[in-house]
Amino acid sequence: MPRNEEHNLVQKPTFAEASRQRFVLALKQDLGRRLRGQIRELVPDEIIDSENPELIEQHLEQMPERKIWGRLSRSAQELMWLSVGEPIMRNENEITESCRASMQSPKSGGSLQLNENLSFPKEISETDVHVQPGGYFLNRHENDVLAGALYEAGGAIYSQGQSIAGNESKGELAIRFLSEKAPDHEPLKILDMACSAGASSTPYARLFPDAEVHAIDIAPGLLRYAHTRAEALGVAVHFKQCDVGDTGFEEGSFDLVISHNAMHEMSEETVQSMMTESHRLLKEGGIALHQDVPLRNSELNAYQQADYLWDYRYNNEPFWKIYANLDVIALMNNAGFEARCDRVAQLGGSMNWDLFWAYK
Amino acid sequence: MTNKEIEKLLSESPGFSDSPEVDNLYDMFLRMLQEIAVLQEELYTLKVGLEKKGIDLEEIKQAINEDESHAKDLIEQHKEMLSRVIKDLK
Repeated sequence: MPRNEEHNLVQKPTFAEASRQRFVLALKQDLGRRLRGQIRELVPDEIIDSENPELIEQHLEQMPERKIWGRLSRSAQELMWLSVGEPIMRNENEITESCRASMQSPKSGGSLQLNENLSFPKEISETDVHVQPGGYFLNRHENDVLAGALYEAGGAIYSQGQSIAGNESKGELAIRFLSEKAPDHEPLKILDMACSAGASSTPYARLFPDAEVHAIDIAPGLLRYAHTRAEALGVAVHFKQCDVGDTGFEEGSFDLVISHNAMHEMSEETVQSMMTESHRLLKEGGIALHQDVPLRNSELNAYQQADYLWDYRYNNEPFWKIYANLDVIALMNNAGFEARCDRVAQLGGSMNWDLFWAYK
Repeated sequence: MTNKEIEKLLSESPGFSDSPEVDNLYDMFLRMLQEIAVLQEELYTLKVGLEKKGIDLEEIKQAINEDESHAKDLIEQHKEMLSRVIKDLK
């Protein structure tokens, strides 16, 4: 399966647009790999030796070289959205029409259920996470899919910049992991929690063709896109707008509950409620698997902890710092699981992902 | 929403220097490099095409240098690039 699945919602850029996107990719890779590392060499030893993340961060915030790097990195992120936005904006009417058509008459057996009365957590709904224009909650009209279109297009460049794309996807990795750890577990009903644009939901529908796949999120623009995208790929996924802690599904009705890269965008309370709901929804013997970035402050030195705060402050990652200190296993155990964490290397790539998982 | 509106949504960019103008200059610098990258890719494409056809690029460059109408066209192209990069001063 290709890493970035081809479908008719992905807008083909012109040569100049593709050039601008390639430039942004080169810029982000250079800033992230070469230049970010050089800043470390410029910090005096006595600051590093303090092993005090707050002190190191204060120093970093004052360094002219770090300020220049920060300006360029923030601008690179903004240019990324502008570059992927050009072909999407040019074809927005067509994308919107696809969405309207797939909502009216889905052909792949999937569905979309929105809930206008849902309230959103302010930290996310009022923040343009990752500097995405309008954020995840952009919702200008009843067929608006722009939040999802931008999310998928920006994500493709963002992940290439971090060398994540082009190799095994997060969903594929989790499915491979499950096939090794629980080869006899054949889920017939799967729930993807906080599914965003649905890119991790569709691999489950493809690779477990006998399973009924559900996916939830709270952002309507992401869900409309996710539904249209799944339809464009010809796979059946049932999308529903609801909170991860209050899904409305029947108790003990799922064999597998998963989430991908969701916890680092949630408060501790929300992660706890997601774990509690995961436990409630699973049948006896079912599996909960929550995957996320391998960001653990306990494994980072003081400089790395201070350096990563840049993303929290300037790349609009409101829960980055909280997630780095979060004891996910304890939260799962609070919910009734006996959880463990495996760090699994992506096939063909350089990325590792943390998989927090447990049987019920 | 248009790309211009996307620009507006991005206009709350935090400051990294003591002066917004300096921040804007860095931003402009990157946009300029981005446009140069587009041109670089177009040149790369042309070079590949010409090599395939067995055409001498140096000979064509000389001919363009010597033709005033090409100079006018090129200046207009530079202006177009500048307006993309610098945009309005507001």
